[in-house]
Amino acid sequence: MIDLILKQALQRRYLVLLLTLLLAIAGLWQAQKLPMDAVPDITNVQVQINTSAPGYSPLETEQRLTIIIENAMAGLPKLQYSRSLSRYGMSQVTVVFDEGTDIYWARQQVSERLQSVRDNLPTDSQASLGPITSGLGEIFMYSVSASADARTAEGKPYNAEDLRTIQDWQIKPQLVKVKGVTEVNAIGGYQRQYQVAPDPARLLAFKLTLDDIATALQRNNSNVGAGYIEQRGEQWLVRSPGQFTSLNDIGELVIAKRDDAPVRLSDVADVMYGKELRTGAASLNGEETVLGTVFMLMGENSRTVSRAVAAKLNDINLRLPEGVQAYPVYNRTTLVDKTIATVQKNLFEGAVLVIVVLFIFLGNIRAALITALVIPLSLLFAISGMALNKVSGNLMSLGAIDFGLIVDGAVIVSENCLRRLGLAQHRHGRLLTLQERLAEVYLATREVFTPAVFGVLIIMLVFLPVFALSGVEGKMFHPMAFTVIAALAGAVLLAISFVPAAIAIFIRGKVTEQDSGLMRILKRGYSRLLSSTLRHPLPVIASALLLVALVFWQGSKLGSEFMPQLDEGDIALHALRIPGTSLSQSLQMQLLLEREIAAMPQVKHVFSKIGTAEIATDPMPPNVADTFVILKPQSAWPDPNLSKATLTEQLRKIAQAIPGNNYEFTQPIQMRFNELIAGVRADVAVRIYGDDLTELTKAAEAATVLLSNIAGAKDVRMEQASGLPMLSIEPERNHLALLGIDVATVQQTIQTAIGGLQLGHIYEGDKAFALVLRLADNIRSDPQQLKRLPVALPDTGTELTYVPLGEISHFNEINSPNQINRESGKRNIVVSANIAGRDLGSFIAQTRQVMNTQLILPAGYWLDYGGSFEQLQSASARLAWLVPLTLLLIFGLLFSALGSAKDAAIVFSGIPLALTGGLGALMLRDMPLSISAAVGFIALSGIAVLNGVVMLAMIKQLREQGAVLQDAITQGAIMRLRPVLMTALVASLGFIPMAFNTGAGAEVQRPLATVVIGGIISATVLTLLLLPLLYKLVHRKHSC
Amino acid sequence: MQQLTVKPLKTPRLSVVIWLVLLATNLLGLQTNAAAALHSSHGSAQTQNDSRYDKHDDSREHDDSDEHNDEHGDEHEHSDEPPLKISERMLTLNQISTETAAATALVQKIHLYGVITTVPEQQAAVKAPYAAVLDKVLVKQGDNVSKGQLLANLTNLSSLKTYQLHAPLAGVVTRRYLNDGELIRDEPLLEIANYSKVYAELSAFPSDIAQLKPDMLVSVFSLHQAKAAIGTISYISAQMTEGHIARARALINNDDGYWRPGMHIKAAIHTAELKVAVAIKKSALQRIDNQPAVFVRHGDSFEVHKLTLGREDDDYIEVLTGLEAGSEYASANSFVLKADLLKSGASHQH
Repeated sequence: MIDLILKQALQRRYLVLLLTLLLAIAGLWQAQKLPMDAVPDITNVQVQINTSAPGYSPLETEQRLTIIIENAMAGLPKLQYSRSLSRYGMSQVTVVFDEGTDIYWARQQVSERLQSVRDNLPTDSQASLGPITSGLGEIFMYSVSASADARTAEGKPYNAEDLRTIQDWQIKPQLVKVKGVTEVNAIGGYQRQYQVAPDPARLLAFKLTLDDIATALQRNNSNVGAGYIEQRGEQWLVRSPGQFTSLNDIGELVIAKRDDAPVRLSDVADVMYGKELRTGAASLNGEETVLGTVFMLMGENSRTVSRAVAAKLNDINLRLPEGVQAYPVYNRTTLVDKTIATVQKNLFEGAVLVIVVLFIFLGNIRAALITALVIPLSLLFAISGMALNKVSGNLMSLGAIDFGLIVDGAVIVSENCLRRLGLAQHRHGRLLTLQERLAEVYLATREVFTPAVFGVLIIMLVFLPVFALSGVEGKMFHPMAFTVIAALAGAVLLAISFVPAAIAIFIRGKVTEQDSGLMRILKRGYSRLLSSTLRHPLPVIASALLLVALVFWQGSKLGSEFMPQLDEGDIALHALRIPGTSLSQSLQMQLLLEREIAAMPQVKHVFSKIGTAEIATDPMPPNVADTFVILKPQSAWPDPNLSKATLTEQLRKIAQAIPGNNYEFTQPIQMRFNELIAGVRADVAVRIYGDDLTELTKAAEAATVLLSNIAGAKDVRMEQASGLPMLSIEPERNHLALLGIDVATVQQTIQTAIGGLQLGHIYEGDKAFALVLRLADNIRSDPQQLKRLPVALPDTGTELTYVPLGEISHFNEINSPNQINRESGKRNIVVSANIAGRDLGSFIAQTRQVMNTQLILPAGYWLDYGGSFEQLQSASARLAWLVPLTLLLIFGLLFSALGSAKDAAIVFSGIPLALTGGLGALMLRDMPLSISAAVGFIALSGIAVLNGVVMLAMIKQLREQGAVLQDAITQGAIMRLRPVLMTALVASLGFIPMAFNTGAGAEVQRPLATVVIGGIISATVLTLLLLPLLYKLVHRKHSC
Repeated sequence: MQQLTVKPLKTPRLSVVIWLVLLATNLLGLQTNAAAALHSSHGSAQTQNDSRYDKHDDSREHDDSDEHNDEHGDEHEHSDEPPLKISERMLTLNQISTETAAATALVQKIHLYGVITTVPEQQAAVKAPYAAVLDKVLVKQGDNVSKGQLLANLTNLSSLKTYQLHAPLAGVVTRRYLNDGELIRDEPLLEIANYSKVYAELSAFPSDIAQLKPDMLVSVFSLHQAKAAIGTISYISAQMTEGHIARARALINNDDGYWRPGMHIKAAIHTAELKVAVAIKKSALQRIDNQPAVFVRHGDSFEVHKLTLGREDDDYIEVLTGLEAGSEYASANSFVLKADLLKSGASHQH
C-alpha cells in the first residue's frame, strides 16, 4: 500500500505536481467562498416569533398573544424547547430546535403553525418571524444624521422624525437589496404619524365624541377604483380619489353641521405631525440619531456582505438630501480584515522562518522552499475542506493553526531525502541518474514514512475529544478541531506525495552530505552530553520525574479558562437603569454617558441603542441601552501602548462617575450572542412554574436563599421580576350601568385618548404613514387631566351628554410585572447558579434534596431543573471514555508503528515531559489553562511523539543492521539530531512573534505559542537525552 | 513493509501506567475544570459577574433596611441607606436642581366644564298690559336700551287711549317680535337682556360637589384660553339633575360682551387656600419602596427622606413628616438620584 503510493507519487511526479497545483487553485477559489468571521458562531437553531400589539400591557400580551402562539408551537418536530416573554406592546416567542435542524425547514414549520392560529390573535396584532440570521448577523451599523445647517424642503432643520423617514423610505429599501442582507432594522427617531389631537372641551362644545371624529376620518380617506368606461373607441379607467394628502386636508374635513355652519376638524382638534409612542431610541456621541443595523443572512460571508453594504451606502449617500448623511458606525469588515491579516502574517512569517531554518540546516535552498510550500498548500487544503463542509473560518480556527506542526512531516521527509541523496552521491562519487535519484528519494521517504505519518495521525487523534463537546462549547471548538485536522491531513498527504515528487524533480545538483559547520559543532556537543547522560541513568531519570511531578503539582493550581475572550477591538456595554425608567429619561441619561465617553481620546465614536428596535430582534426594555464604543486604531491613541484592559478600566471609571447607571462590559459580537442564547448559560437553573406572579416571586426568593447556602454555589441569581409603575384605570361597573354605558366604551375612550387609534394611512408618494387619533401630549400624560376627560354618553334625552372619566373609574397607581417569562408553555421564574469547586453530580443531588424538603410551594406549582449541567454531565461522561480511548488508540498506533509495546511505551512516556515545559511556560507568564493552551499541548505531544518515533525507528534500524545497543543508540541519536533540532526550531522560533502578539487573535495565539515554545525546549531535551536513556534501560537485558 | 498487525500487549511497565494516568488526569482535569469555569468566563468577564452578584447582595441588604424602616414607621424617616455622593459637575450635567422646603400657601383647585348663561333676573320680556295696536316701536334687535327708556307707543284697543312702554331694565334688545301697526295681545313685544353680568353655569359631578361652597373664587376660561374672567360661586343647586350632576353658578362681569350666553367654558374653582408649614414641589417626589420620598442635599451628598404627605395643589404638596422647613431638596430630575440609589438592582434581562 504505502510502497504503492510512494512509487506512484515518484513515477508520476509531474502529475503529482499538477494535482498539487490544482489543489492550490481549488483552495484559492474556495477561499473566496469560505464564510469568514472573527469568531465562531455559537447561536443555536432558533426561530423568533415577534408579535406586536400596540398598547397591550404585559398581562394582556401574555393572555392574548403569547399563550396562543406558544400552544401552537408545542409539539413541533425536532423542538427542543420554547421560551417567551411578554412585555408592553410585544410578545416574543423563541422556538429552539435540535442542533443541526435546517433553519429554513424550522421556519417553515413555525410559519405553518403560526398561520393556523393567526385567526385567534387580535386583529390589531402583527406576528412575524425574526430575520434569518445568527449571532454574527449584525455586521454593519450606520447612523443617519444631518448637518446643522441642512434644511428640509419646508425650510426647517431636520429633526429625528425627518431622518427616520429618510432611513425608512430611502436608505433601507436600497440596502435590503444588497446580496446577503436579510434585514435592515431601524431604531431611533420617530416614525412620522399624522396625528389628530382633539381638545376634549371643544368636543363637548360641539357635542361631538371621539367616535364621531374617528368615523369621519375613516370614511373620508380612501381612493376607489370604479372599473372603466368606453368612450369613442377608447377605454377610460374610472377612479375617485378621496385620500387626504396633507395636514391641511385633514384639518379642513367637515365632521358635523351645527346650525348652518360646518364644523371642521381643525375647529375641535389640532392636526399635526405626531410622534409615535416609540419603544426605542438611538444616539451617537451624545446626540439623538437614527441607527440602522444591517443583518446578514445566515451562512453568508460577512466580509463580502459588509463590504457590499458599505459600498452601497456610499452610493446612497450621493442621492440623499443636501446635508444628510448615513455614516457607518460599525463595520464587521474591520475586524475580519484584522483576522485575515493575522492569519496571513503567521503564514508568511512561518514560511520565511521555515525556509531560513531549513536552509541553515540543510544548506539547500530548493529543499527549504519545497518544504515551506507545504504550509500554504496544506492551509489551502484545509480551506477547501472547510468551505465544502460549511465550517466557518475565524480567529479560533485559522488562528490556532500551528504551522510548526504542519510542516514537521515535510521537514522530516525532506531532511532524510537530502541526507540520503547526499550519502548516495558520496557513495557514487558523482551526480545521480534519474533512476538513482528516484530510488534514493523513495527509500528515504519510506524510511521516515512511518514516523511522519503516524506522528500526524496521533495528533489528529488527540483532537477527537474536542468533538465530544456539545452545545455552545461544541460550536466554539468544532470548527477549530476540524480546521486543524484538515490542515494536518493536507500536510501529511503533501509530505508523502508532493514533497518527495518535488525533491525528485528539483534536487538534481550536488547535495553535500557534509554537515554544515554549525551542525558539526552541535553534534559534537550533543554526543558528549548524550554519553554522560547514558552513564548516569538514575540521577537523570529521578530529576526528570521530580521535575514532572513538581510542574504538574504547580500546574494543578493554574486557573482555567474554557472560553477564550476574543478581542473584537471594540467595547460594548449595557447601561442599565432601574426598571420603570422611561425612554426619554433613559435617553437623557444615555446622552450624558455618551458625551463623557466620547471625550476620551481613544474613542472614535460611541453610539447606543436604547430599548427595542422596530424589529424586536433584541427586546430590551427602555431602561437598558446597548452602548457601542468604537475605538481608534491603537496607533492613534495618545499612549499607543495602553492595554485594552487598562482602557476598559478607565472607561469604567468614567462611566461609574455618572449617577443612576449600572454597567455590564462586553464586546459587540459577544453581546449579541449573549442575547440570543440567553437563559441557557448557567450551570444549574431551578425553574419554578406556576400561575401567580407574586407567589412565583416569593418562591424564587426562597429558592435563591436556599441555593446560595449550598456549598459550591456561585453567582446565584434570580430573574428580575420587579415591577413597573402602572396606572390602572378601572371602570366602576355600577356607575356605568346607571349611566347606560358599557366598559368597552370607557376603555375605548381611554385607549384612543392615551394610546391613540390608528385610522388608516396617509400616502406621500409610496410612503405610507399612519393617521392616528390621540390626545395632545400635555393632556394624555397628566393623570389629573385624564380624570377630567369627558366620556360621551348615549343620547338619553337628559341634558347630560358626558361624564368625566374620573367620575366613572378609579385611577390606581400600582406596580405590575414589567415582563412575563414563560418557558415550555408555563409562567416561570428562574433561579440560576454556577458551580465552583465541586462536582456537578453531588451538587445537583443536594440541590434537589434541599429544594424538595425545604422549599414550600403552593399547590399547583412545581419545580424543574435545567441549565447546561446536563450538557456538561454528558460531555464529561463522553470525555471520561473518549480520553482513555484516545490514549489507547495512540498507544495502539505507536505499537503498530514500532512493532513493540516497550518501544511504544518509551515514546509515550515522552509526552508528560513535553507537557512539563509548556506548563512551566504558562506559569512563568501567569496564564490560565485554556483551550488554546490545550491545543498547544496537543501540538507538543505530537512533536514529542514524532521525534520519539523518528529517533527510535532509526535506532531500531541500526540495531537490525547489527549494531550493538550502545552504538545504535549513540549513532542513531546523533543522526537524528538534525531533524529533531529542525522541527524544534521551526516551531519555537516561529512562535515567538505569536507569543508576544497583541493584535487580533492574540488571545488564542499567545497561550498556544507560549505552551509550544516552553514545551519544545523540554520535548527536545527529552527526545535527545531521555529517550535514548530509556531505550537503553529497557533494552539492556536483551542486548548485553 | 511495516508490521501493521497488532501484537498482544505485554504487561505494561509501571512507568507507562503512571504516564498514562498522569496524562489522562491532566486532560480530564483540564476539561472538567474548564467546564466548571466556563460560564463565568463566558459572556462578561468573570470578575464582572462576581461584582454583579455582590451588588445583588447589596440590594438585598437594602431591602432589609427598608423593611426595618417600615416597621418603625414614621419614627425613622431617615433611611439607613448610605448617602449618595454626586459631584457638582454631575448635578449640572444631569440638570438636577434643588429648592428649599418652606411654608407655602397651597391653592387647591377643581376644574369643571360649563356654559355661559344669562342672569335670569337680568332679562325681561316686554309685554303690553292691554291688547293694543303698535303705533311705533322705537327700538330694534340689538339696540342698547337704558332703564326707563321709551320702547314703543301703543293704542289701547278697547279704550283707544295711547300709552307707552318703557324698558324695565338696562340691556340689549335680544328679540323683537312685532312691527308697527300690528296687534299685540298676550305675546311679548321685545326681549331685553342685560349681559353686563353673566353666569358661568358649571356642571359639578358628585365628587366635585362636596368641595364646592358659595363665595369660592372661580376663574373662567374660554376654550381657546384666549380670555379669563374671575367670579365667585353664587349658587349651588340643591338638586341633582336627571343626569346626576349639580349646577353651580358664578357671576362674572361681561362689560365687553365677550362671554356670550351659550358659550362653552372651562373653570377652575379655588376650593381652598391653605397655609402649610412645609411644602415641596411635586416634581421632587419619587417613590422608594412604595413610599413617597425626597432627596435632601447635604453639601455634595444626598440623603433619602421618606415622607408622609398631606394636602396638595397643582404644583406643591404638604409634607407632614420627614422633612423640615429649610431643607434643600432636589426638585428637578430627582429621578436620576433614585436611579443611582437603586442602580445596583438594575440588571439585564431577556
